[in-house]
Amino acid sequence: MMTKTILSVNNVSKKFGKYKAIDNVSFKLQKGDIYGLIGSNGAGKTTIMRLITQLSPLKVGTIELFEQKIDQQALKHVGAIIETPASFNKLTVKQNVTLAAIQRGINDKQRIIQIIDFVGLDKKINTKAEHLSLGQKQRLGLAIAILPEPDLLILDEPINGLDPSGIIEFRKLLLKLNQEKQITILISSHILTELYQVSTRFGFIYNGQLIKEITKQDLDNVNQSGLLLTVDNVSKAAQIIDEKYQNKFTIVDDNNILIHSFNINSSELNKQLIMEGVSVISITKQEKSLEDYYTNLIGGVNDAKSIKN
Amino acid sequence: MMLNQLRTDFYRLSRSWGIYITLAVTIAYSIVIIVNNTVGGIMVTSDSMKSLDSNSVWTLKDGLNASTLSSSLLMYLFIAIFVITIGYEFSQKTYKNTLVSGITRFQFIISKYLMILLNIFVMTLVYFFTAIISGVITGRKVGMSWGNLLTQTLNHSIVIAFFISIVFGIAILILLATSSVVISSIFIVVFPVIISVLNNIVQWTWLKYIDFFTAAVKISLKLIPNSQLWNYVWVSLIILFVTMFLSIVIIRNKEL
Repeated sequence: MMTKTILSVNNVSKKFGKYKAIDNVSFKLQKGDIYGLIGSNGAGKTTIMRLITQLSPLKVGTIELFEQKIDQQALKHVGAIIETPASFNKLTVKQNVTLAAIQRGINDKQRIIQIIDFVGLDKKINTKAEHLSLGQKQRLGLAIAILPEPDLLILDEPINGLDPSGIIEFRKLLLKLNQEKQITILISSHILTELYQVSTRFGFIYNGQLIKEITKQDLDNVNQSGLLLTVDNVSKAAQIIDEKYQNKFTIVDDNNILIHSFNINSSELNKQLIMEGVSVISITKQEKSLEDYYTNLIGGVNDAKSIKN
Repeated sequence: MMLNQLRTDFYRLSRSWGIYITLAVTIAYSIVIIVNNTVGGIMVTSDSMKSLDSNSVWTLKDGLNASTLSSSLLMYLFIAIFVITIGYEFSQKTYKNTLVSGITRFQFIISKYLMILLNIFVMTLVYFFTAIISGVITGRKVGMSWGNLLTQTLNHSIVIAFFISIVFGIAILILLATSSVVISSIFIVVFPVIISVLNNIVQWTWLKYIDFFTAAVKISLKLIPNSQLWNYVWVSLIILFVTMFLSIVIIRNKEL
């Protein structure tokens, strides 16, 4: 199946005075992607999003939306929450969404109610925006952003300020938008566990540079978790695991095997291996997360820089 | 898109208490002028009325002239229109939603200016019609034909709204350059005062062309000869054009 490119960022750089906020960044979003932009505060995530939405003038590089050079017309098909969600404080939830509908030329009043329901603000429909909690304001921002049924949704740190249940609901909402409405999403956050749960691809930004792109599948392969066995005879141990447990495993090196499961009784496994004449040096749980990957990646970049210097 | 933006601003303004308060004060101000037979406003005295050959008991025509002389205060009242129409977009950062809706920067600036102009015009019209209605209720004579009175009311409203809008157009430019609603609002307050003070101190003759409010009153009351009328109009139009052009250039190159 041919994949359709929704967003293409090509060799984009941005300077603020002498400070290089974005340095030759390129990446693409295919239809259906949930692309997680990962980076620390000040890494350049917001600047990239501001460049895409033209809130920041683009001077170096090109950005294409729907395979055409970006312009205001193309932004009609984009919904965005950049930095903080914006709404008119003195207007109610319904009035704010209605305002966005008029602005986008949408006359369907039923859709306004549906969107408010969809983001879970139906009980706050007549509440003024100034009286909403931060989480509710995020939802209102999302309602305004998704109202025009955009092809691309750009969300800058959307889970900031949400309580744990709000985060879970927001995550469900994003997955629902992606799966039910086929909306491609570009999302940034410094809460990596959350990004991991929703994203299908990741881009790591460090000091304005996109240092790594990886799909979730590849990340999971690199970042494998499970039981790590250290033994004296790897080939024999592998044979026993294959016969007795039928679990997926990887021979890491001459002494280590990683079983991709935590659902194995480790003492039973230990007993089996010893009975078959394999010396077990250790059995440890190996859990790796997006955080670990990120830390290693950033550590690697820093090491490379220090070697270069 | 521009029409959608005008509709959006109309929807928002019609749900803003600030607009209704401004309207109420405008009406009250007009009633006070007519009922008390007094002129108000900035640097306007009762002597100004004498120069217009007014009667001791005002006719509706005198009331219209008095309202015109007193209309300098309207500019201060109408700051609310400026703040609600475009100021809030920047103070509440909702321009982010507006500018990602598909509208061009050109359409954004022009639609904001047009919405301000339209509001000023409607409010000014209400101000003059209140003066006429107040005069009728207090039993004043018309002082001229009804047809002429209504035509003059419309003309005065157009002229005053246009010239006030030039100052607001410059205020839009200042808002975009400084991102400060306070600075741009202060500009609207001090601009006529600075022009008057400069007029008294340096007496540059060309200052009269940018003394928009005095020009509006003089044109309305036909105190400017026809031969000079178009000089005022052209200068104002050129300033408006340059202001809008610079506003568009700034917003296109601004980190929003």
